[in-house]
Amino acid sequence: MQSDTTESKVEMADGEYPPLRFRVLMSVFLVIYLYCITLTVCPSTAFRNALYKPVYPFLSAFGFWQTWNVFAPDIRTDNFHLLAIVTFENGTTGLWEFPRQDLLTGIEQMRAERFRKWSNDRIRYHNYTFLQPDAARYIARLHRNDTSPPKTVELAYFSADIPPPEKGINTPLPEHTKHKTFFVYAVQPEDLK
Amino acid sequence: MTLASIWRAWNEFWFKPGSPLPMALYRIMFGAIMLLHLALLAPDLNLWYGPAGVVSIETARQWPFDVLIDPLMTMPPTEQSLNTLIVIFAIAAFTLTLGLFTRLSAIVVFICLTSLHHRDWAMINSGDIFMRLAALYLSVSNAGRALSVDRLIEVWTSKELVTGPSPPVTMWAHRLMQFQLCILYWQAFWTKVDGNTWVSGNALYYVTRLEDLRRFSMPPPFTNNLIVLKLMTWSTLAIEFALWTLIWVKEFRYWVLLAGLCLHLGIDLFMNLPLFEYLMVTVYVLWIDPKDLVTVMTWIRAIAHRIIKKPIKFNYDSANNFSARKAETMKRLDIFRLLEFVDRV
Repeated sequence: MQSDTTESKVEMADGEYPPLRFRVLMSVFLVIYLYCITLTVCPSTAFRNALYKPVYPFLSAFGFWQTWNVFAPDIRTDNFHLLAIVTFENGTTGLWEFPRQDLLTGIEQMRAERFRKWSNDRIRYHNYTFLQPDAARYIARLHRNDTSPPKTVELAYFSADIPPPEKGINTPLPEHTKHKTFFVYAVQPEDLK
Repeated sequence: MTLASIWRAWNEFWFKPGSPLPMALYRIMFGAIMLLHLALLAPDLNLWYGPAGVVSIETARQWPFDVLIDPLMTMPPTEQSLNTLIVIFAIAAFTLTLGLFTRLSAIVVFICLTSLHHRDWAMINSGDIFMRLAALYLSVSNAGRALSVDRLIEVWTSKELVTGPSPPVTMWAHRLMQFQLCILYWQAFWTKVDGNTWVSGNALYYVTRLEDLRRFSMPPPFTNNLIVLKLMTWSTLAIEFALWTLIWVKEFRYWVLLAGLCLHLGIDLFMNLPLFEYLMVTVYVLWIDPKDLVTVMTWIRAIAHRIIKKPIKFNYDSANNFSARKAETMKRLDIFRLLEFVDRV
């Protein structure tokens, strides 16, 4: 009697393959599945997209969708931090800064990575504009105030371009001095519930 | 080449039975990562997935995909529903790690991850996607056929006493997981070579200067030397290329895995991408020859024997059904070979 980490039976005889019917059915599944996931990661061309369109609902429904273009095709070439300017009914304003990874350490930094993904990789960009009203409403709720409720929420960022390598190799990174407001939201009373 | 030879090769690749040990080891590491993942999420569950989360349920329903089994979006949108799902997820992750009801546990983990990803797609990264797919492959694998509570239960539930190590199992899920890893590196490589910063060798210059992704600063001799940064950029491309090509060549495999390990541990040291690197390197265990895993286990046992010089005697009676099953259970638990079994018969 031996436990699972014993040398014997690491390999087995050829005769112990699964039944032929199983192998045939499984082979059909594997061919279809491999076809689908290979299409998923192929470069987007008209031909690939035509083939991909019918399989996408299947991949989506079963949770098989995937993408692996990590830091590609190009790396971001600026540093920035996001903030929100909340204007209240009485005219006063408040400043709210999204958690900044560069000011955090250890577990706090690990935890805030989700925040970074949501804010820095998503809501700042024009192809995720549909996320911006929710973000503004969330910030408005954080500033709930019965006497003078939030009236508007502006989402903005301060940024600085990373100098090209030949100029920036031995120099400190520039301060975030460029300012841009990219979304303004008028808060409704129901947003604060 | 004939159709028959292609079918033979296909059969050998996907269905040739092999040791369940690598997949079992991966299951344990994956389960532990799932528990860590939940621990990191725990303080902010409502922020991300709650009824008043940063992404509203209405927005979540606009995602360009629709999940077939989605408990979180099916249940009433309350904190209680979320907590219920998370508790189920945590129990499943724990039982998956132990190898208790392994397939069911992996299916539950997969469904929970899919549902959470559907609820808030805005904060997930490639590591999350990999988690979901790994749970899926584990659910169809034989990961519970070794180093598991399921194997202990088998001792007591089988009509005839089953002894010895786990018999070889069909490998198609194991192969699928290997193929998945290659697909990952394949896309990671090709999308990078499509970009100017990678081909010109400047990518690492910019990566090391992204303030929001930095964990520890790389030492100045690396970050302030453009030649070193260029070499590191091209090395990244070369390693990613090898991880979907040369990894299939037995003679290169361990070198490629070692390079991949160095790459991911390096990224983990200098960049704050929690769990992603661990998810990548743990799956490398599926590329290790089971015989080599056994060799490593033998070294560990030798160390254990040096510490505990005299094995502890365990008497049993092979003629007695209960005693024999008890002995078999102990043998399966005794991974360090610290017991000496003495059959009184």
